Amino acid sequence: MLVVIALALGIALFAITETILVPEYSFAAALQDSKTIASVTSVTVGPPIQSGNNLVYLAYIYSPEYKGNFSVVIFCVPQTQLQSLALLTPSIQGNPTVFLIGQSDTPAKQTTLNNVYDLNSRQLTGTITGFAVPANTPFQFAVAPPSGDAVVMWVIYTVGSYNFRVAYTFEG
Amino acid sequence: MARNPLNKGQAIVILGLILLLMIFITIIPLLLTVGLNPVYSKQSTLSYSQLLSQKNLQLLEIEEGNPEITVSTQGDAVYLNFNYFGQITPITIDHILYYSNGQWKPAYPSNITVSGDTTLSLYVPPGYQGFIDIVTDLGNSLYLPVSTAGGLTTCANIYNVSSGEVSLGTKQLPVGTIIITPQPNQLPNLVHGIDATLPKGTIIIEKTGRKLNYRLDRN
Repeated sequence: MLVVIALALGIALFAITETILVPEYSFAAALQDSKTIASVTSVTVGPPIQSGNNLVYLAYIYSPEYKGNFSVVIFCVPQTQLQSLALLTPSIQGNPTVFLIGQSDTPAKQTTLNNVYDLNSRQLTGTITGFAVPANTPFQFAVAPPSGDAVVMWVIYTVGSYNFRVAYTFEG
Repeated sequence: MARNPLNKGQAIVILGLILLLMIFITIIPLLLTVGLNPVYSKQSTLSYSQLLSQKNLQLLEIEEGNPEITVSTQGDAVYLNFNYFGQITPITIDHILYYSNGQWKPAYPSNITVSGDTTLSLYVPPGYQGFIDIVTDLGNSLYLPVSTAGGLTTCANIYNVSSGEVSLGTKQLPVGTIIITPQPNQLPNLVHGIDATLPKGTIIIEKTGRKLNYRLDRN
């Protein structure tokens, strides 16, 4: 009888650990990792250059000692909302195209990002589309913002299955 | 078979051991995560503040003209020039890019460390007129339109009296007096017992901001 109770308790504890504590730990670890990355990452977006209907921006994510990819999410918001920039989420994407710069310009690979969090572990969005760009390499993006809109760029760092917004900036 | 009295109560001990094990499995990682995190964040903040000050220092040096970065043209060719005026601070350029037809493209095939006066020939279309972008190893990005300078443009027609040895006629010009000539480079750079003629139209401003009452246009 006692053995059965002990087993049941063990299984219950294991289940609690697996369903609650392990995700909590891995989320906390991922968040910590992202905070470390975020503290040394800075984003530069250059002045826009008109090209047809598009505005072409040159951007650069500086993150020393990090060799992997970031994801960038580019979207347009009305300039009147820029006061709450940290809370703005993509609603209009403005069909951005992202190119990596090299000897031949190659389009950046699209990535699907589930559940993007900010560094206060607040969930920002559900599933959105981003572009994979390497750190410490310039890339360009072209976007056609509606008039009166500013362009916002998020830099998203992925740890395991978690996505964190480590930097954001706006232009225009 | 009779039960061995020693076996009595063993199940409770086993249960206790399992519980203890579970507690260790869950509590110890929790303590580690909670306890170590502030240390990590402090470390990253420390290294970041140093990195940031280095990055800002580099930008400050460039703004002060050390080196002065200019994009010049000669015929159809475009050159990137680095000129040092004072102490040489090496600067590593990771990327040099130019813009053409909606695309930014590399204008120089590799990264380069500049540690002296340098002129680079850029791989741009002949007669290029747009922007040149320079990205340094510390992540500073500079946009330079062709035929302009980044940071300080030297004002070669402003002279500063830095010792009390400058005299104008019988009047001694105090330290901090500014002499502005109408054209650049009209006075010798360093005056030590040199007689220099002030060109017509020269303005002398005292340290207090007052213009000196000397009839210089008599010259």
